[in-house]
Amino acid sequence: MIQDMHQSIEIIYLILSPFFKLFRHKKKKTCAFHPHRRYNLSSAFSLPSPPLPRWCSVPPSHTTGNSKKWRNFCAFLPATMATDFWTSTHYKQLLDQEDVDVVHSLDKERGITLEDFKLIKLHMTNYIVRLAQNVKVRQRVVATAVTYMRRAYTRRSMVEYDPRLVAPTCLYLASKAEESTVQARLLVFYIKKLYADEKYRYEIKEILEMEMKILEALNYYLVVFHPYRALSQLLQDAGMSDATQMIWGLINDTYKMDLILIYPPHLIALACIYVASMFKDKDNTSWFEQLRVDMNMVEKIATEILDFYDYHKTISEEKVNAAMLKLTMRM
Amino acid sequence: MSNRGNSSGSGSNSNISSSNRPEWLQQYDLIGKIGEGTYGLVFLAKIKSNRSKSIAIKKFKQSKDGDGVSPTAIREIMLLREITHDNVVKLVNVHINHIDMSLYLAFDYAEHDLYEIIRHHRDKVNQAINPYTVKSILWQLLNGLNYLHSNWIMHRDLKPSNILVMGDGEEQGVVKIADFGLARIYQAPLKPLFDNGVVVTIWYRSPELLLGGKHYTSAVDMWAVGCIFAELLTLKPLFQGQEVKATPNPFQLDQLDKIFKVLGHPTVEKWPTLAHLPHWQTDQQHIQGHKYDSPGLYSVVHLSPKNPAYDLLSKMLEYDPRKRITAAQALEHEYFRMEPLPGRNALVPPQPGEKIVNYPTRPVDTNTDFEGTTSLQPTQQASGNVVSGGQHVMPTRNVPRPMHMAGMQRMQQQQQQQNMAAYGLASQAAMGGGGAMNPGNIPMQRGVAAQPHQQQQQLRRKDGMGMPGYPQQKSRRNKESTEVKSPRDFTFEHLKSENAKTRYATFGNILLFTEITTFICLCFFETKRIPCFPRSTFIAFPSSKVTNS
Repeated sequence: MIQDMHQSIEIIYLILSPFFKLFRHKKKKTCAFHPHRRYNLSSAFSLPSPPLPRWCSVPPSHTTGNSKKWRNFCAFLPATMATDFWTSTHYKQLLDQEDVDVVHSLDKERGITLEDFKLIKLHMTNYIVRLAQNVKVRQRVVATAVTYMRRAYTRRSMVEYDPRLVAPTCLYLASKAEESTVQARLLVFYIKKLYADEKYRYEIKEILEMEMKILEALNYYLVVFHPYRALSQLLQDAGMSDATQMIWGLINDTYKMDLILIYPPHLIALACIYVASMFKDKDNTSWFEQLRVDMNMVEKIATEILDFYDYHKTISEEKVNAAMLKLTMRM
Repeated sequence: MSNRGNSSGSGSNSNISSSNRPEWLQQYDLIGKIGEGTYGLVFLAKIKSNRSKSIAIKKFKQSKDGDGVSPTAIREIMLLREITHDNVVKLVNVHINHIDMSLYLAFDYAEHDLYEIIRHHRDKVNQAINPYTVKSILWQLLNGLNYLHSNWIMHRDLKPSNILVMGDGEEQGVVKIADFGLARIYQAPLKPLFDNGVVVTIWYRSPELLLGGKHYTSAVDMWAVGCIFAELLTLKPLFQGQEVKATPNPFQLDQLDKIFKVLGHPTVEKWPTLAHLPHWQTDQQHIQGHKYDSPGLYSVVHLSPKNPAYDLLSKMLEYDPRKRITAAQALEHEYFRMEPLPGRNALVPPQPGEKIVNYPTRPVDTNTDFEGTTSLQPTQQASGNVVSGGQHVMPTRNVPRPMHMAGMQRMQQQQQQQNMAAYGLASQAAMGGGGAMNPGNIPMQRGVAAQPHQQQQQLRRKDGMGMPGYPQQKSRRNKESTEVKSPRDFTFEHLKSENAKTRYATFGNILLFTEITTFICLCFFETKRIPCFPRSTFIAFPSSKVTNS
């Protein structure tokens, strides 16, 4: 009996511990909601850099190639990512820009244009980031969640799958997939706290139901590769370790676009390094050449990133609200 | 559409859920339940469009705690969607029933698993497994594991019941690694591996885990393979430690004791990182104090120390995980280069003269439909370990609730009885082909397949089909043989009423017990100045109160 008691105490503690956590969070003062801070133009440079991902050694089978440089590149680029990138479902699922930029017919009926579509996805990306900051998960979880959300909307309509529910659900699912589960009730708690708007309010049950629908919409492909993975090694190799923070921020911002659905993650990382080298006026041409990647592709991505920052200046709160309003409007 | 589970059942099993039956179910013919575990149930089904193809469908229950899809299911889907290999079980499809929020994983069905094969040899034919079969199984197992490890996937729950072997058909005798519920990608983890709690079933758990190592590697899988290898040779689990249940850490003194008795005492000279393992330091008098005799692994496995098989085995059971042989190295080992050479069909040796052992097919409980209508027990028993090998010793942070502890014994008995009844019915139906138990006169494809093995199956039933976590089996078998004479002694109706009474009585006691202990604990926390009572309820339901304040 005494032993049983002992067990029970541990178990009860396990059951209750989330509440303790919640209680701690509650006491903390969280900053008020500033609508203007959401689209901070220089977020690439102001975002704090999360700790870099831990790096493991490289499986020996993947280190074959010609030059030493090339070997290095092979060693820390896609081949070393969790499963082999080139055989992964992520690689097989990469889409063309034209396929991503398709507004679902149901959404079109509500008058949602391609620009609205992109705006809503951007808005929801920010929503996920905000939520994630509160429930305290790592950047990789955020990146996975945003990828899930963007992938889901290549197949599903926003009318049927309300973004305000899909966004937190994607974060919930991503936290499970990345082995750092967040309790659904914690998410619901913070949603209530962050948004006074009734339309954002969803209950645990609805999140759990949506989780299944998202799984279905993703066709059960859950492994996502991110540009962060190889970053520190790449930067060391390029002699740009001082720009780590800036590049990390740039990569974070790429999730506000659909790049992750279109290009392999290592090219996105290289494009961010490319942009950063331009800013820093550092000539990395020879380093890039040694990598034997398609530089046209890297430049194309870099241009898209720069275009995005230009476009970003034109976004206003009203535009986003108008787009969101179209979603809710009944015809 | 036909629902085999119901139509061949006892008739008392009403088809409540036919109205919410999801569309995808139409493509399968359900044959019956073949297993049960913590996660849910496993069913055998056939694809309607291709009758020759059997599918094992693993149903994940929605957890009651509001946690959505279980992390076990997420891991399994995530990994199995990415990987394809001959020696890894194939995930054919995933289905969702949105109405009851359950998730179904459809796998290629494998008729045998190592647990059943070993048991068949030990208990029925009393003969060692053919060396060709042992070698082929081991080679394929290592081949699959090498693939997983080179993709940075650690299995973390290898045991005989999780190693499947394909039955008759195109892939006959091919080994498949199954149950990825504890598996995870270990490259660049966001959280330390240790956060996942206790991994690997105790008998196959490596010494670094037992001693509390937090940064374990894929070498834990190789230790398990070593244990399985020895078990294939001797038909007995190599290290049968008594598990101390419900401790939240992986340390198990008896298991270590069993290992040290066979392999000798580990030393810091041979295993330098040993000194850093938590339990090596803390449990001085137990572990370090006790002196063990010289190692005698070869006498336990009856192999000469010069035998390459022994050499390979001892390298797999190397104490130091960094010196332990890897899957890739093991595949290159001399053992696999000498006659008999390993082959793709592990069950049938290429030489025509060799005797082929006919392994029994899996028993199917045809009374249970997809909703699991006949098996509502809230216990976490695993009967036949099918796709997943059932019960994990203690899955990720899901520490068993107190009610499981208290009610375990009685629940087990009831479930056994029920299982027995179910199997009894199933075999009657199979033999009659259209008797009283099968009023619809539906052809029983399963029954035909099972007929040659009828006798064996009945024997199997007697010595405890529907067996839960592997290490407990001995005590359970004894209990069963004294209490149940033959499955035929019970009728289904009789059992049902009997069961219902005792089940609810037990349940009530457990609930009362849980309530009281909860209350006591809450009081305890209050006294420790951890606020529990009014506030915990307050915080637990923020929707109702917090928002207005």
